Amino acid sequence: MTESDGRLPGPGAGTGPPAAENVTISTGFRILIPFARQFWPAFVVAAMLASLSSLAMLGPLWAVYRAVDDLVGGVAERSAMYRYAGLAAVFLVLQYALMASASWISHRGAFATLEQIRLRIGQRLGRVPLGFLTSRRSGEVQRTLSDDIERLELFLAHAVPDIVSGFTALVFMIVWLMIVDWKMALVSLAVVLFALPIMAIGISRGSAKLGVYTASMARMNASVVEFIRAMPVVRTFNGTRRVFGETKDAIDDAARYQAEWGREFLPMFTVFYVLVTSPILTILPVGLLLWHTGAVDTSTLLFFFVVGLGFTLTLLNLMNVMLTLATLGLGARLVKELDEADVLPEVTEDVRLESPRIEVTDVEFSYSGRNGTSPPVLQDVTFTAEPGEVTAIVGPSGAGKSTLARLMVRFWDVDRGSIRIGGVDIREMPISQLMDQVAFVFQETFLFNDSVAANLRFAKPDATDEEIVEAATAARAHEFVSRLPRGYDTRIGESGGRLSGGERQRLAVARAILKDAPIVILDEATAYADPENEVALQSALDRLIEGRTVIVIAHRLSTVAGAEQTLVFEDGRIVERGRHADLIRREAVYARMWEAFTEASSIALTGRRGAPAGGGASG
Amino acid sequence: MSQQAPRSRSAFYVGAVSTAWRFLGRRSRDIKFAISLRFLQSMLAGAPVIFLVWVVDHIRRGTLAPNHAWIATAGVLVAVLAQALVWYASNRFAWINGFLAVGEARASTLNHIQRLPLGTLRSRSTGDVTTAFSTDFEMVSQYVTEALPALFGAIGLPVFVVAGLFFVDPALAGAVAISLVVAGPIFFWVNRRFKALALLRGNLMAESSGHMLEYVLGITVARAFNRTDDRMNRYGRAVGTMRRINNRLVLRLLPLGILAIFIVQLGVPLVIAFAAYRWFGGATDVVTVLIFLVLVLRVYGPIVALAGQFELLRLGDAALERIGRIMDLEEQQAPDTELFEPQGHDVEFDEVTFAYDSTPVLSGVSFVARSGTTTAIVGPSGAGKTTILNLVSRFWDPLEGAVRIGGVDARKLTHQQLFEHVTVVFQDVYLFRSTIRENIAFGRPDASHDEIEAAARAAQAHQFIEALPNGYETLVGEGGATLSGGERQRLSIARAILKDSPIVLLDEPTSSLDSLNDRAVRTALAALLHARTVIVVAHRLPTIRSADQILVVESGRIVQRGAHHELIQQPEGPYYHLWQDRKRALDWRVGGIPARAGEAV
Repeated sequence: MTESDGRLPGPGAGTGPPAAENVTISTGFRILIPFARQFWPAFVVAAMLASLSSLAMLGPLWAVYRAVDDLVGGVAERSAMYRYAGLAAVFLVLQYALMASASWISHRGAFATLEQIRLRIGQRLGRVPLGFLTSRRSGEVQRTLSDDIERLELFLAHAVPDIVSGFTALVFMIVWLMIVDWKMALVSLAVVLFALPIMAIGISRGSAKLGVYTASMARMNASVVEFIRAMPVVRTFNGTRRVFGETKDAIDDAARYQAEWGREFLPMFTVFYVLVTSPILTILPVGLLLWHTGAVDTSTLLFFFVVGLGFTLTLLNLMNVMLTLATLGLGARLVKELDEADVLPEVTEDVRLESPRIEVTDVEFSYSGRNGTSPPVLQDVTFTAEPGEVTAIVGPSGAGKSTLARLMVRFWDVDRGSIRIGGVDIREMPISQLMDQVAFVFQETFLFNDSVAANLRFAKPDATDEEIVEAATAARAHEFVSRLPRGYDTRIGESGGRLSGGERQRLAVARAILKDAPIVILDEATAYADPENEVALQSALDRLIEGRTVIVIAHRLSTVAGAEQTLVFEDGRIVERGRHADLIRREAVYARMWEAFTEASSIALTGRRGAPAGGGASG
Repeated sequence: MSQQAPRSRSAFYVGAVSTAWRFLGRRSRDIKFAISLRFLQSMLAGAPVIFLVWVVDHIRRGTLAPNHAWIATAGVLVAVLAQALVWYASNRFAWINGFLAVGEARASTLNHIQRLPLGTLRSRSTGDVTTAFSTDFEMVSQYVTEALPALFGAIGLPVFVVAGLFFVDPALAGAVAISLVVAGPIFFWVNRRFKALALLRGNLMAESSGHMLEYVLGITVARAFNRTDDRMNRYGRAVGTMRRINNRLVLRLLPLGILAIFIVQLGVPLVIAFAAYRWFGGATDVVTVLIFLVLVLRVYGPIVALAGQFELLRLGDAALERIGRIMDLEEQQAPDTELFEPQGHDVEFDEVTFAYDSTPVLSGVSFVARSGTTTAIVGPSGAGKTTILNLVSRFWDPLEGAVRIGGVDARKLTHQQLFEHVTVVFQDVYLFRSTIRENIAFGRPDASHDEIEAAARAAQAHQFIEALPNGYETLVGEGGATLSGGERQRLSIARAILKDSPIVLLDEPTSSLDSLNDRAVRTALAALLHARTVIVVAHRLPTIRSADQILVVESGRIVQRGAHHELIQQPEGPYYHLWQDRKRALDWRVGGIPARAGEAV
């Protein structure tokens, strides 16, 4: 049987997410076993209890059979009958008590495994290069940690007891039937042997339509997503009717193809279902025939009439369990991917550093690594940033500026060349030592869901209240923090603690000020701050960079016109370097950028032409 | 009873089954028919047992003749065939109509969504709506095609058996039914407890799950400040707490999940004992006892199997409720036919008040943006500047007062009319998965190539378009050619230029673009705005200064208005400070060499 044959494609299976395609129970298990291994006693005990539960399930069947047998044989006694009833009750209690314990134990094992998976991923994340956690990836990781792993709970907790009990129930049943009478057992099984090939035919006939339907479903989903995302543009450009029509067609198509698949698949599915649920079709006539010829006795015949009739239900049950579990293992693949992420090689011993000079030598870097396929983002980058000086990095978007800034704090490691701080390659010092040297403020700020004070103290756990206020004041944050309902104890994000982008940015700067590192890297630190808060943020930055080695990336060229050194990047290379005035005089790349900058700054966005030009700062 | 319904309660959602019927519309009759067929099929499943017992009775009495066997076999065959037919018909009705009905429900939900105010749509994350569309409707589909029929299928056999047996021996029939009757309310109670415990779990988990996710979000900061170990410990504690909560709750859930089906199954020993009691007491005959014994094993099976369907029922229920919440969102009213024609292109705010939920955003805002002039809106962040633009384009509608375009209340214009007059320039550019030509011509599908090219030229886009492999026929959007942020913006501006509406609403970009792109985008925007009525949320000095009218907005009110040369002469007014602030921000330099006088831009 191929993997796809193992599923019972009822309407539910057919309409399931197409992503479920390659996830089977066995791959789910393969990935999860390394995590679950240390809890094996729980799973083994759960499996044993589950199979005992299936064994107990046979008890009531046996009791009823014995009662029928006694009655038909004319030997029924009152006490025996009550004993059968009592035994059935005892077996039921056993069956469900065992099932509950199996489930409880395997749930505990599952929860312990989930904790283990989360811990392992967490530890791994603490050591991956920061570049691994791009914003997209960060979203995926969060989804995996919460939703996907939670879904694994269902898989782990139910797979063991359900599969084991479903399977053992079937096996016990068949063995029991065989022991009683192998000929009749085969007769009972005959319908199933008939039904399975019919199901296979049904699946293969339906699979073409199923493919068409799944594809149309994917198209529909894409179309709906596009429709909703495009809504503002569509409506304001009066395109609603057109685009709605297209999306509605996609919806109708999907429904139509699904219906077509249903029509194709249903006949065979009906035959299969009815056969599997009706072993009486063979048991009754063949049983009577064998009884007539004397090959089986009355008691055996009755046994198959009572017990053999129900055994196929255990088969249907098992198929259902497998089907449900197959989609639940979905999260496993992402877990594996995260668990195998490369970690950053790290040294542990602090090294001696000289003055905080940054030397970048012949750096080459590409996102796919040295032998990767993607083109290099940086090539032949060499420069030195001196202590106490400002080094500006400018150039068009995509020139590699931000990548360079992030390489300096080891978001990734360079492919060739080296970055040295204080004379030591940053790969040869512990991360913690590197981080003590460098403070960085990038566009995105992250504040913890904690009080303002705790967020600032994050940079310096032993900071006094005075130091906190001092840093906040320097970062121009004290004023708005004092206005918060509970001042420095206000929880960020809670009502009253909602901060604007500029305010959050200033808290991040305050945090960096407290850290007091000799090197400061700023990447478009003001670009996304609300313009109305810019002045405050700027003075905050002034305090942060005082007397440090500063690397600053900026599109607004005027902000870096005072830099001791400006590096002009184009396509990952430094194409010009020097001070603002020198670069202007060269009348090359930088001069053109400057011209564009001054022109852009003077364009008024109004309905009038010929608005006073040459405005800007001096206006 | 007089209590108000909680806010989260949906008005569309009226319990899962009724909501499902409402959704299925005209096809609900077919589904109901399918469900009754399923009920019938389930009853037919009990029919072969009658022949079986008949045969067994003959065996007991030693009177079984070959033709009895033939009759029984034929009877069983007929019963199974009938069952197959009914099963087929039932599923055929349920599947086909269910699939088509869910398709129709999707379409009508989409139709509802396109009538929502754009603001509503934006404030809900798009993800929510699209998940509802794909996942939730899948659940609904399974709910109507599988779970509901299965539910009724499961009670068909028991009902048939109990009803049929009632004529044979009412007392024994009662014994069969009693465990079902006892279990019934327990089923519902358990289901409610499940819901309640799931809710409890969500609440208990929220905090530690928040801590867990914060670890990922804060990992860069933690690394930057050498606090990774500390964060990892906190993460470990959160993860451990999650395990303990799970362990505790599963202990409460498990017995519940098993209780009801256990009680149902207790009917088996009960019937054995009671049948024996009646038989030995002479109250019933042996055939009856045999019938009951054989049937009692079959009768509870479907109910027990139903436990597996409960998950589907619960999920379907939850999905219907989520979709119901979307259906509850209020549609935006707009006339279908043109009632009024705007006279000129003045935009007028007349005592406009607006609030998001209950947070006031604008109060008593009045102004007129005269045709062909530019109105700049300035003020601190969060003052309500963007909301003013959003009220013109009907992203929202005012709570009080009116926004008039050409003298007509915007709510009395058709959407078509409104957007023939108004163009909105969005900060986040949306490109369709289509060619550049179709993207530019989206607002005017009949535009000639010359017109499209002229718009592209004006938007500084022609040059880079020509440099693309297929020029104007190049595919863009998801999976298409990669364009830079500046290029995408210029395409969207070309689209707006071609649309050629007299009124343009703009939130001035604060530029995260490099200077070459920035210049191109600003030049393109200037071309779009030329000679139109412009309302701009202005950030840059040249724009502010050359506006015909400046509105200074603070805390949702206009606190100062006039032209630059008027406002700048009031040194105690907010505008003066704002202007000085912006100027100082422009002069700022990162450390290094101080600016000399006159060198600044």
